[in-house]
Parts: sequence; C-alpha cells; structure tokens
Amino acid sequence: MSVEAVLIKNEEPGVVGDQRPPRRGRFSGWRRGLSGLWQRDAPAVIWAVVLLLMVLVSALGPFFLTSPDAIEPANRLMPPSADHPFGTDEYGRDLLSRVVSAGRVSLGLGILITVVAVVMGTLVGSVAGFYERSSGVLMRLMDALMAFPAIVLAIALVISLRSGIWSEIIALGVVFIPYVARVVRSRVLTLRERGYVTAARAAGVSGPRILLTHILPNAAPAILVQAVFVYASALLADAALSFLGLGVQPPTPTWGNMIGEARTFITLAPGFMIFPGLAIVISVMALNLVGDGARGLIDQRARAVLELERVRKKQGKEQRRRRSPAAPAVD
Amino acid sequence: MSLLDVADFTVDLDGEEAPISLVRELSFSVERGEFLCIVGESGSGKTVAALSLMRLLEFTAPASQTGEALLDGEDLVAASQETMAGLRGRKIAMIFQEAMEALNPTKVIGAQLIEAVQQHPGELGESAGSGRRGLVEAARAKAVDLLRQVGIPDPVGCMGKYPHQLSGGMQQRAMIAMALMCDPELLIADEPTTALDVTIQAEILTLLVRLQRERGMACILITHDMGVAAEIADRVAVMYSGRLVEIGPVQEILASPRHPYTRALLECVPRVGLIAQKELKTIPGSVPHPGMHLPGCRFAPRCHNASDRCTSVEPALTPVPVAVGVGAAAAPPAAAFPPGERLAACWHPEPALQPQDAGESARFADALVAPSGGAEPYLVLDAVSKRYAASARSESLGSRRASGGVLAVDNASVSIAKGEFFGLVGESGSGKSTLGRLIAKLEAPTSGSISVGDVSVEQLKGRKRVRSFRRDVQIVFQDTTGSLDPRQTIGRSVSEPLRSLTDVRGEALEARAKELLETVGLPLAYFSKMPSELSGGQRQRVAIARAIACDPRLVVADEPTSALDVSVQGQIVNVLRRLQRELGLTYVFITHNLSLVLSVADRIGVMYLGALVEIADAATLVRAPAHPYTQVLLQANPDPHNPRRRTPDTAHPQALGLDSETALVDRTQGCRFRDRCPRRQERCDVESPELTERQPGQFAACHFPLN
Repeated sequence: MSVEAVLIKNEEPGVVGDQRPPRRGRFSGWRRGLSGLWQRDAPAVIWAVVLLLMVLVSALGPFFLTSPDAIEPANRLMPPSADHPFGTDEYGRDLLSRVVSAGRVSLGLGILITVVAVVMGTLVGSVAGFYERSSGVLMRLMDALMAFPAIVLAIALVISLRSGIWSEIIALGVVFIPYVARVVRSRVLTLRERGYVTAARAAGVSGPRILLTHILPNAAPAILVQAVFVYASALLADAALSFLGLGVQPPTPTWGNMIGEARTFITLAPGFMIFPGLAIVISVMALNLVGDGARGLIDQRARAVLELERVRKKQGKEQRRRRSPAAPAVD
Repeated sequence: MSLLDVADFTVDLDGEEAPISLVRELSFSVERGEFLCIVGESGSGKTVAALSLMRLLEFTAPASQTGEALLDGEDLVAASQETMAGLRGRKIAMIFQEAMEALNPTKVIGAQLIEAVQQHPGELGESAGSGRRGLVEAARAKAVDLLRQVGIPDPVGCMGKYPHQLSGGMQQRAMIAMALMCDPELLIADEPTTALDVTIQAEILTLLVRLQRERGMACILITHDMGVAAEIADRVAVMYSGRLVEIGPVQEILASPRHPYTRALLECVPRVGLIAQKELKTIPGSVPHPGMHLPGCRFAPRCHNASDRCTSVEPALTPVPVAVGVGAAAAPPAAAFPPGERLAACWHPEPALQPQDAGESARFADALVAPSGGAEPYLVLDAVSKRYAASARSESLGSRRASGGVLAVDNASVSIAKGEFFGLVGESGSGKSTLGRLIAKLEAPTSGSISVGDVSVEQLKGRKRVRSFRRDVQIVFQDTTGSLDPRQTIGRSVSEPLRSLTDVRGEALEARAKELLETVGLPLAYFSKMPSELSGGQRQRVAIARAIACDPRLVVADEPTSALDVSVQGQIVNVLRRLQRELGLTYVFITHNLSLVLSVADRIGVMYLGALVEIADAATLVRAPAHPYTQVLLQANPDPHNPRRRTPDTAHPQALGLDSETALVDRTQGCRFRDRCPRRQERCDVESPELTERQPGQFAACHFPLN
C-alpha cells in the first residue's frame, strides 16, 4: 500500500458499523466545505470572489448608474472626480457607467463564445476519442484550426461572416473548439479503458449511451476547468477584435472598443484607457487563477501533495518551536 | 543483543484534526541471521511500520515516530535524517513491491548499482585505495558479482541494460542486488513477490533465503500471504490494525495459532486438495480505520469469541504457554534458532491444539464423487484463437495477417457442462483473461468457434440477438475500483443491465435491483450509496449483483478475488457458489490462485502461453498432474497448511520461471513449454503436442506426461 493510499484512502463503513473517525471541527455543512477550500487554496478563493463581484457589478450596475450613452459636451475628457469616479470620455460620457456596461457586454459575449466552443469541442472530442476511426479526420481538422494564430483566424472569420455580435460569437467559438476538443478527447481516451465502461459493454449498453452516461459525466470536471481557461482567452480575443473595430460596434461599449477609442487621447486622458484595460486584466487574471484552483481541486494527486505541504508547514513551525531550546542535543 | 530492538514504536499521522496512530506500540526484535515475516491484511500497518523504521515515511506523509528502535545500539527514532542517510543502504536496506517503480527508468542497471555504493564507500573504498576511479572499478566488479549471485544469467550484459528491458522477476533480482551493494545487516522486503507469478515468486523467495543464510543477514519480509511466511520465515509476526497481535516461531504459529485473528487468517487460505463442500472460511467485517475510536481489542468487532472485556480493555502482548509437543512433531526440524518467545495480545487465546487439523487422510474424501460427466455441454470452444496485431493501427484496420503480433489464445478447445464450475489457471500472459473476454463476446476470436447453448457466438448478428446473448452470458472483472462508475449510485449501477437488456422499468426495476442487493448479501441502504463509500469486497458483490441481474446462464469471473484480502476472498467465492446452487449458474472462473481454484472448481483448465495444456478435475490435478507445467505450478504454490520450506537447496534449476526469454519461445513448432520443462526431449522441439485424453476426464498436451 502506497503512502498516498494512506493519505487519501477512503475507508468504508463495514458490516461492523461506521468505522470512520468522528469528525471534529468548528464548522459543519457548506461552511466546513468553504473553510476547507480556503485552507487548500486561499488565492483561488479570493480571485473567485473578485470574479463574482465583477459579474454582479456588471449585471446590476447599469440599473444604478447614469446611462452610458448620456452625452455631456461640457465635460469632455475629464479626469476622475466625485461626479464621474473614472472621469469622462471624448463625448463627456461617464466612464464608470461605460466600463460597467461594457463589462456586461464583454463578459456576456465571453460566456456565449465559451458555450459555443465547449459544446462543439465536447462533441468533436468525445466522438474522436470514442470512435477511433473518426479520430484521424476530426483531429487533423482541429490541428488545421490550431495552426492559424487564433486572432488572425478570428479576424478572417468575422470579415467573411460580416461583422456583428453573432458572427463574432461564432468566429471566436470556432477558434476555441480545438482547445476543448483536445482535452475532451484525451479524457475520453483514458476513461473508455476503465473497467466500468467494459462492464457497461458487457451489460449490453450501446456505444452512444456509454458515452453519455459513463464517459461524459466523468470527464465533466476536466471540461469545466478547460471552459474557464477558454473563457479567459475569449475575453482577451474579444477585446482585441473590438479594439480593431471588428467586434461589437460603437456606441455599444465593450472594453476592447473603449480602449480603441481612447488610444487617440492617451496623453490627454490616460484614465480613458486605463480603466477598461484594468477591467480586462483583472477579469482574465481572476479566471486563470480560479481555473488553476479548480484544476487542483479535481486532481486527486495534486490535492494529496498540497495537503502534505500544508501539514508539513504547520509541523515545521511546531518543531522549530519545540527544538529551539535543545537544538545541540539532537544527533 | 538483538540486531534490531523495537519497543513501543508508534507512528502517528498528523491529520487535519487529531493525529491518527497508524502503528501503535510495536515491540519486537530481530536477531542477526533471522528471517522475520510480518503478516497482515491490507490496512494493518505493515508497510507503514517498515517505511517508518527506515524513516522514509516522513518524506511522503506528515508522519512522526515515537518509542524506540535500536539498530545495533543506534536509535532510529531519535536519529536525524543525516544520520539515517548514513545508515540506509549500509546497515539497513529495503526492497519494494514494484521493482519497476523503484528503479530509475532513465539509467542503466549498472549505473544504479554503482551509485548505491558511492554514498557509502566503506570497505570497498578502503580496499580500492583513495582514487574515485578505483572506487568505481571496485564497485563495478562487485555489482557484476552480485548480479551473478542473484541469478541473473548475463550479469555483464545486464549492467548496461535499462530496467524496462528486464522482465518483472529480473527487475526484482536487480533491485535485490542493489539493496545488497553496501552489505546491509538488515534487509526489509516489502511484498517483494506480490506482483509476480507463483513460479517466479518461488524463485525469488528461494533466492532471498539463500542470500540471507549466506550472509548471515537479518531479514524482515512483509507479506499478506501466510503461505509465503510459512515457507521462509523463522518467526512470524501478525499485525492487525496497527498493532502486533501475535508473534512466535513459524511452526508454532502455523500449528496452533493462539490469537483468533491469526487463526482466522490461516483458516481463510483454502486448502489445496480439500474440496470445500461447505462454505470457505471468512472473517466478517473489515479492518477498522486507524482513526476509529475502539476501546478494547481492535479485533473484537470481528472476533467470534469476544467478551465484554474485549470491547473495553485493550489486551497487551503477553506470553502464552506453548503446548508440549505442538509444532515440533509435525514440522520439519526447527531452524538454528531456539524456540523464541511466543506472545499474543488476546484476553481469550485460542485453545492450543486443534485436532481436526491433523486430518491429512481426510483429503479428497468428498472429492471422489465422480464429476458430472454425463451432463450436456453448454459452452463449447472449438479451436479458438485470438491474435492481437503488433500495433494499434493495424489492429484497428482489422489486419488478419498471420505473421507478427501476439497469439494470445492458441487453438483452445474445451466443452463445459451446464452448472459446472470451471476454473482456468495460468501465469500472467497465459491468455486466460483473453479467453474469458472472447467467451463474453467483448472481443471476437481470430479463428475457431464458440457456442453457448445452441447459439454460435461469432455468427451473432442483429441487436436483438446480441441482447439475448448478453442476458445469458455475463462477466465479473478483477478491478473492484474500476468496474463501477464512480459517479453513479450503487442502485443505478445494478439496474443498468436491466435497463439496457430487459423491458423492466419504473418500480419493478427498483424492486429487482433491491432484490439483487439482497441476493449478494448487501444491506438495502447501499442502494443510494456511491462506490467510493464501499470496500473492495462490497464493490465486488455489487459487480456480481450486476452480472446476475438478467438471470444469466453463464458467468465469466475474471480474477474476481485477486484484488481482495484473503478474509474477503472467501466471502466472494461463497456468494458465487451459493448462486451456482440456487440459480444453476455455469462459471468460468479465471484466477492465478491455485489454492483457491483447487478447492472450489469442479474441473480446471491450465493455460500456458495461450494454450490449454491440461484439463482435469481438481482431485486428479493435485494427486496426479499429467503436464510438467501443472506440476511446476503446484510446487510453486505457497500453502500454509502444508508448507514446503524453502531452503537454499530447493531451487529447481530446470524449471525456470516464465520471463521475457522463455516467453519468446518459437510457438509455431514444438512444445511451447520446452524451455522450462525438466522432461524435454528431441521430439518436444519439433512436434507440437495435442491435447489428448490420458485417462478418463484428464486431458494433457504433452509428449512425455508424468505417470
């Protein structure tokens, strides 16, 4: 029995009765789960909260702020002030409300792009993984998509589809399909060798059903983690397209087209560019770190190692405290 | 003074909450030149104890030791890691279960052996002078010598090989050589033979005993197999749930175990040749979690003889009187050691003598009932072969070329009667699992025909007929963790075949699933549990429930107990046998465990490198095997009830274990067993023996059968 098995071994309630040690601790239920998450990976929890706040503000903010399209010609390119915490743009529109409602557009677009990529990618990846014969064609297609730089491919697709919100979603969704498909295929390839898949075959379950009931549910955590990373990339790509004027068209604000508008005024009103830029940086960073945390959570091995590190840190402190008076006596 | 003196040795795991004692107050000693076996089920703390003695556990787990462990006067518990680094290898060395994982795959064997010495030049450094070059040269010479000593045929060539180029047995030998490079005084072997076939296990055990005797080294061997301990140990220590429950000389422990756990563990091992008409012995329940709060004896919840005292006060290890004459009479002459102290931790030790054990003559009394010869054949295999293509690509392209690839099953023909319990044994790579998968139609044979009842399997076309075949033929797998979907409840798993193969739906489906759980002896509450909440044995019961869900006629059981502890193995086999009686099932029971199959199967097929070499009933097989391979297997099979003491002289030089070399024998002509066969003659090299009937009911494929 390996030591890891000692650490993560799940002892069963035997016929003799529940033999698990009684749980002790301050919390119970969901609060216990939260405190466990916090102890395991505090940064990821903090960034998840940041992300949640950004989503909440973007979703609810526009109901409380002035209209992002209200023009005040007298107050153009103003620095931050009490009336306009982020300042104003070249038409005197409030930058705070523009950043917030741009967030609504950008984050929302990102979600839709992610959904397209994940749905299509899961379909392609699971078929390619489960049906060996289709793998060659499908995966070479994915390789072809990946061979183009993402942004160039997106631009080409948007242009050929006519610019507009839906063509952007489709273009970027297609660009990110291979990133999901590859992860899904590799998961499916390992999962389809599992005993329960063979057992299901022996029980007469049909191929598509095995894929749906046994393989995809077990691949779901990995797909979700990959979706978070795709979301982050989608935000960046969307910003780039909008910056180039290929995404959502003004006057609807997005973080990307705001920066695009601001570049002429970078010396006059730096805030015009800084605030939407910060919004992009923070949201992408938060998504990446949350994704990392989630990956650690589903990876049992990584979990055991983290746990060990944590306990050892604690133990090290105690030992130093204990040993310090009698240090020379050891050895 | 003893070489190793362990007293009150406790290992605590610092968990999220209170520390958990994985090993508690262990006290034992090992003399120079003594062979101690530590025996116990999984979860008993054997490996943890060994790793902690080496002070290796703390690198991978937050563990801490207390107590005392004096190795030649030096306390291993109080020593710093620097001191330990000096002791490891030089005074105390360890070999592990998985040789492949313990050897570095990127370095050649020679470099790894030489590296082991460079840490502790010791005498080698002195004799070789001061130069680093001289040391390496001396180390190389020593490495070659050691590789020869551990029985590697080409030691110089082996020095330049990478671990993956060696077979499992050879890797284990190389690891033993590595452990011996600095001439340790104490060698700890953690399940060194568990992953190996019985024949290679026998060779490695013989090798260990020889090396230990030659070097006057002390050895601690950790094993779950009482049979292994019976063959090589001078003394046996039995661990349970982190405690030492009994320790004493091997003959005494085997002849009259005093702790109920030791006795139960021994009784769980099936007796070769004693056909179990009744149920196999088992131990109810499972090993308690180390963190479980249990006042009193930790075995009390599973003990047949527990009293109030047992559940309130934990018994200490105390001397138990040894009955006069026990052990000494039946056992071979004792080793060079005086009968050591006999200790057991039990309030109500078992009576010292068990007269029924002397019933050697009772063997086969029941087995002489004629096997069901007149019954109609139900499963008929006719010249079935399965060839796997050399690469996955040509496999998926359906290449049928005869050359290349591996012939996993070669021309297997057998017919199995309705209601028969047919055992299939063989070493790994013998094709027994492949044959099982072919029968269950998980794979298609390359040639030959399989028929079940009046259905010909390879001509099965159409969804409806495949479904009806699947209802009749089911399979149970070895891997208890993998064969249940971790995201589906037990209830869902059990009802899956019903949903896909029958029209039972809704409440009837749930009722049937619950009925199935009851049939295999699981509480109904398990219906909504997840697989991770169940133990290995319980999961295997679920797998059986699944298999019998649609009232099959034939069940292929592919190593259903080999991942389980011996105390649970009996439970699973008992369930299978009960279902055989109640439902009239026919079984193909695939296993490498000879003791088990010989005590439960009606007839047995022995497979070697893809071919069936002998088919006979269990009694005939034990008394008069016809094929030399069967005899080799029987001789290698460890059996605590009838131990064959391994001494340095018991090696069988002619009957080599199966390894990569002997497996490469040219199978197209001649007998495939010829390279390992002690009876080899010229005819064996050119003519393939056919499976022919030697005497009524006994078939063998050999030109020169025994008897």
